[in-house]
Amino acid sequence: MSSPIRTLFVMYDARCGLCSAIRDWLLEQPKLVGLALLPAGSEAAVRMLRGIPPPSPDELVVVSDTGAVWRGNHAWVVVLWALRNYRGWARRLASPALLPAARRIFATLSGSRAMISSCLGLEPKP
Amino acid sequence: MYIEGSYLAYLLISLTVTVWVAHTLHRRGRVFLVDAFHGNTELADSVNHLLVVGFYLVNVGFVALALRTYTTPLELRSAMELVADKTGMVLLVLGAMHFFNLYVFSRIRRRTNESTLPPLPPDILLPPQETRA
Repeated sequence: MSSPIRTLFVMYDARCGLCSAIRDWLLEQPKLVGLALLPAGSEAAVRMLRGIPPPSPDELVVVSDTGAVWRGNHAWVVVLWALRNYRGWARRLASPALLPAARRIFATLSGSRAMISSCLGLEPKP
Repeated sequence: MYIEGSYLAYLLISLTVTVWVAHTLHRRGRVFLVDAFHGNTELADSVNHLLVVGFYLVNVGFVALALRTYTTPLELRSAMELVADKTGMVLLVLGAMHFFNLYVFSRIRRRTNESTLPPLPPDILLPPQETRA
């Protein structure tokens, strides 16, 4: 029995246009768990991750108020889990059948986000 | 004469087994529900009781409906066969109901766990954030 999660702190790459666009989209979605978006490497983000080796700013990191940390591709799934309309998808993507494919998709998206941003003309916004 | 005896034997066996299964469900299912409701024993007991009531209603209803027969046993052998047929049917339905109840229990348990925890285990566990701010 663990205490329920109330807030997820999402540390995203504020230098990338696609990430800013996703952040704005996330903020509009109905949520089941609070989402707080922090630029990776910001003071608040660094304070929260005290005690573990600092992740690269390229990596999406999610920390819950209960202290659980997800990194990289799994962090994507956890962010979807926080959204009311996508919790079902998060569960499906986390199933053994779909997780490998989900990992690849997120890794590809993540790796080519600079290119996607420039193709779509997305500029980083504060 | 055989038909009344058959009916009585059928009712006795079916209802005894129904009571026994309901009792087992009630006693052993509680642990599942307490876990599913995160230690809320009051809620678990309430749901447990409601499930058992439903179980009784469905089973006793089925036993009553399945009582009637259109054959008239004229000897002990056919009377015994009739009772075996009827009770066998009831036992199979009871078994199906029982597994269905187990499925409901595990589903309740899974759902409540799912709704409080993300579908993937964390990579790292830090102390809760309130104490770190």
